[in-house]
Amino acid sequence: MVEARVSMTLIPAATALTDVLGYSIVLVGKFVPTFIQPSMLLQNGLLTESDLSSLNYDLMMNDLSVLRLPWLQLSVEREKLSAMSTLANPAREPVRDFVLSLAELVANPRFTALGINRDTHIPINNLEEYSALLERLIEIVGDEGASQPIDHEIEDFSFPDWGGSLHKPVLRSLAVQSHRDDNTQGMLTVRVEPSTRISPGVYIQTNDHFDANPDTIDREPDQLLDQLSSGWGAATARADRIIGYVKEMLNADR
Amino acid sequence: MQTDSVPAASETAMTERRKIAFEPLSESDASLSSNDSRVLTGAPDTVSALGNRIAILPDPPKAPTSNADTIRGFRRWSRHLRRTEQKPVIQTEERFWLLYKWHGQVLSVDSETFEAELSDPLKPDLTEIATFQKTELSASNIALLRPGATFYWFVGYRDFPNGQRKRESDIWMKRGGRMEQRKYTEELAAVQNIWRSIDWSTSSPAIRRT
Repeated sequence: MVEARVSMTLIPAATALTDVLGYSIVLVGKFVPTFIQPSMLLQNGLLTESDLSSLNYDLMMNDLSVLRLPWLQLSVEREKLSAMSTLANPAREPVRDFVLSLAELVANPRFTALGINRDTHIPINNLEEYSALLERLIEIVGDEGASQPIDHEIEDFSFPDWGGSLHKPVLRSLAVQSHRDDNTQGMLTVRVEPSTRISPGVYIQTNDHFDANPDTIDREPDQLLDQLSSGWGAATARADRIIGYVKEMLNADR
Repeated sequence: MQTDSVPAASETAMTERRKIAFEPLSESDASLSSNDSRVLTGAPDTVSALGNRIAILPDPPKAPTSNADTIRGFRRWSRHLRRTEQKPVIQTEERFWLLYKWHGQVLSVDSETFEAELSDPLKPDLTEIATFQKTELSASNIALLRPGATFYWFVGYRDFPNGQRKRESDIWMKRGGRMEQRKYTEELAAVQNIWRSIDWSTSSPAIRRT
């Protein structure tokens, strides 16, 4: 069973002081995973000497390097760099600063895609609120509405078996993608699922995805870094608005 | 190309992958990414999959038979989840509950304190001036303290694995920003070009003085 192999702390919603937050930045391009040496990071001011005592490398290989700090988890593959905040320090700005500084050090940079991600786990009172949220989000509140008796057994499932290939299918998550309206290329994806961090809780992931402009990438190979510097405020505000909207939908049922 | 950002193969193996089908979008839409099928996929290159560690949910209940409306399926599943709700376990990891944060810029530094301008990211029009004791900073952060330096001030509660909770105020001096040699050389050359391009003979006395 998958459950037996996963080790993580489930936070009772009643004890959650606020949302559980996580932030990550993913940069797609060409990288040399072994370049994240501690001496290089220290020399260029990305780490301080106090960081070194808590610096851990899970892997340092030609294809993948993984670095962990109390405030950062960084993985570098040949085609992708991912930096994530941690539960112990769920702050997005240090992660952003680190990625920006590290990207400046990449030799022959050519970044083709960028993702600014936010993971939010919102405590709720019960899972019915999650169900109601999904209903609202996909606008399918029907005549039976929320007054459906809890104990009333419904013999039917909502989804077909997809040509017999699926057995007892249920909808477990909702993902919505939208086009960009800020004259950049890419998309915005919002995913809603039951939280596996807070019980009961709702998990919302926003993926603010930017693609480099193929017409100008040769001239400006690091153009996507602008989204991390000058575009950062807009990206974080966008994610905040999405979370605010979902919370409004949640509170509408309370 | 791998579409998730999960770095550790072991963690990847532990997770259950799921995909959601999407409606095809209009052929005429020009803002899509370079997806030949013109259909948005569920997992862009830049998605982080660690956030939820992928929901692992109880198996669905028995006895579904025919198709019905979607809302009924939600309700049934929701009831099933409630009955089989996962039980919270004892905390084993440290976490920080971030309650407030400010952005700061150091205005002045003296022997024991420093003065900074603070702004609330949620109220960017409002700024405040505050004085901090240098003892608020760790030794490595003090090394970064200078007029003009920027920092983030986080206030919240920290939960420890032993169950303790402490209020915490953390000043995080902005890292990096040190200019790489190549970049420095480029920037210096750019500045020198600007300098040389100025026609000093037509500049005003005020400019010449600077």
